[in-house]
Amino acid sequence: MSILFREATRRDVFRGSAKTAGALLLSTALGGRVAHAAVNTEKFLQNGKIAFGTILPLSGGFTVVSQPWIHAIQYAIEEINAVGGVKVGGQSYQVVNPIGDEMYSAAGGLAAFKKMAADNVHYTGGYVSVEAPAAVQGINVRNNAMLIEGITGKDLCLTNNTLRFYEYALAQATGPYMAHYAFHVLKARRVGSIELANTWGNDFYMSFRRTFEQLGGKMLERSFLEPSQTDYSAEISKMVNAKVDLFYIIMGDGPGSAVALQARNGGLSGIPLMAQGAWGPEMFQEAGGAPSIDGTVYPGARPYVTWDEAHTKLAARLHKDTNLWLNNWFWHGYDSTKIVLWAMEKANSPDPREVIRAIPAVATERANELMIRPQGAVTTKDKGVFLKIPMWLGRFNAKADFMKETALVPVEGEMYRGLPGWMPENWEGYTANPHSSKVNWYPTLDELLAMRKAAGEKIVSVSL
Amino acid sequence: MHLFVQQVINGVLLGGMFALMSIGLSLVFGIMKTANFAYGALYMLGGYVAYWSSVLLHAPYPVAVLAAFVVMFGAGILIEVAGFEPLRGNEDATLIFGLGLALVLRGGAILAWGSQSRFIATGGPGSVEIGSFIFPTARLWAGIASFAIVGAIYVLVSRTRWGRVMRAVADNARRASLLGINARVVYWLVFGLGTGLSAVACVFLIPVFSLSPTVDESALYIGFAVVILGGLGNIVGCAVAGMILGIVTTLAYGYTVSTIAPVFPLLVLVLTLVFRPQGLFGTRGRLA
Repeated sequence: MSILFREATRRDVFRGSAKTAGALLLSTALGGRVAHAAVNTEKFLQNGKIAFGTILPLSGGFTVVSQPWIHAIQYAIEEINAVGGVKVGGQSYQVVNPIGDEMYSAAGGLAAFKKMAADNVHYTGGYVSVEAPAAVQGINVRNNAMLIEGITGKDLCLTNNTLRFYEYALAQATGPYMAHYAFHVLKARRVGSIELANTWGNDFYMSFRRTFEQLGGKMLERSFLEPSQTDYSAEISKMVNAKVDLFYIIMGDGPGSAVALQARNGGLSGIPLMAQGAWGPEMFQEAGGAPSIDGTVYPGARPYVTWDEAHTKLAARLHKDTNLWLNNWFWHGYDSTKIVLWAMEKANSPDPREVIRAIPAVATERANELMIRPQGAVTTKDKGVFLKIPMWLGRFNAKADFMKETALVPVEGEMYRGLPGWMPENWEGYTANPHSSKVNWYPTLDELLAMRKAAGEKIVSVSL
Repeated sequence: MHLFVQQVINGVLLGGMFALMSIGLSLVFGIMKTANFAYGALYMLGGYVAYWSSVLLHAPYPVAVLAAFVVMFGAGILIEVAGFEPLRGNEDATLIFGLGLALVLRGGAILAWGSQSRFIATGGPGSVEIGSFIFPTARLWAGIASFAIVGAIYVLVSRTRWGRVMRAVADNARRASLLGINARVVYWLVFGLGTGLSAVACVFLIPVFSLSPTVDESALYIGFAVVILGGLGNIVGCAVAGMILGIVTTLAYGYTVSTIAPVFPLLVLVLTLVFRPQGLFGTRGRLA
């Protein structure tokens, strides 16, 4: 009893606390190292195989987006398997590709992820809806599973997540170039826009708006849409009434093509269109629908604006398997899957915590083996790894033979070709809380260029 | 004020399309008292019949419309004979059959034709301007077709001998049988007609909304909303309810944001059900 009632001085309390804190710190550090060293890599290698999962919608309207993506991941895995699989620790492992139905919803994405996590699948790529990866965020780290995704939106892709490989261009990086092109080349001064009502749509809108307004343009009508919406006559009439001279559609797939079609028939027949989201040859609509989409300006990765033998082979195969054509979403899955599998070899480990650290080196060293020609990757402290992917502004050519030539023709002007689709490494967005109001989340083009200069960033031009 | 008037015009045209979407559902519900949850899927299937007629057979637009009607009229009779008729009297089973059929048809359409948007061009200008107001041509045609079809169905049901037979069956099928009417055949024809009309509606709306396997959802939801608001099975109610929902929808999207706008037409529906549960034109024993 006496010890409990012993008088303690303030110094005793401080000393005791310091000792306790030191002991905790030491045991945590040692424990962490021991735990890390003790990771059983067997669980990554099920029956001598590595599992790379795909989580995308398997039914419904968004299969237009998901089908090329699903097949791109499969084709990449098949190519790797054909040359002996992934070599780790002196052994070769074949890669298997379980597929989960995202159902274009948070619930679907989460359920598919949980099933894969339970099955010891430590790599999941895909996620087409904004809600699905948002639901999986964080849980993936707890399950030691790398999340490979391309859906933008600062509240989605700039949250803390050490096991995220973000494999596509950031809205903040491409938006200012879209605005510059709209103002200087298309001579637009009065822009109307319609966007998917979420963080993804907001990012594209804001990153365009800041530069466009700085240049002297006006953003006149900002409308929102829901994926289930079918009629846009009210929004189109507002654009007509505001006399907009450019219409920016921040939504792809079925709703995007419906907006374009209704805009063309609703009084916006003569003005240029710009677009974001899943826009591919599927958008062109057969039997007379093409004029509503033709000429739309859209940012695409290198393989989307070029054509070679690899394109011909992949296009024929994809069309045979899905009746669809190559598009940006195909390249999302194709190269990022290879990068991750090659990073396993580089890290000589299937553990996602080691693999993610090897991605930047792989993206630099093996860039020429990849269709998208990345320029390395940005490694953040606690937000994962962001691929440095060059982008081209292009115009849709609805008359193209999608089996033989690209549907997206790069526009003239050096600055719009091979533009950096990533934010410079000194951007505070890579470290800040995405809800912080102190961060310049949507820098103008001038601010962006100044930031790149300050970072000493060297951008290599990529030939087409 | 100019924008407001344009939005009302948009609403009237949209309302016409809503009425067109729901006329087949209303007819089947009014005569057969069958809640056909496969309606949206059959509507979508009719669109594909027209689309493939147009693309593969190079059928002109009116021929594609006719082909869709004929094929889906036959398909409707087949579905009634093989599916709904054996289940008649068991509402739960009918509902589940309709939902199941819808899932199969939608999944089958995705597997068979992919989920990309399809389109049939009607030719001519995309829109016509009257004064400073814009009338998208495809919507105009859909609106005209809507009122023509609603009018024709109204005349058929309320002013012809065939209509009297239908109403007799709707009123009391057993009593109608005692009078020598073959209720089974009437049901077949009505279900076939309702399904054929859904296909025609879809074909008229392809140039406006385009076509994909997922258009069934909106057709089903809008169809039921219009039928409930107008009064179950009431043909005139269908036209008026379509118009009300069209105008409310357009004004809601025009003057609020897309996240709130869908609430307004639903609010109209809920308030109507609270204050007039039988719908705007619903009266017992009346069909048209």
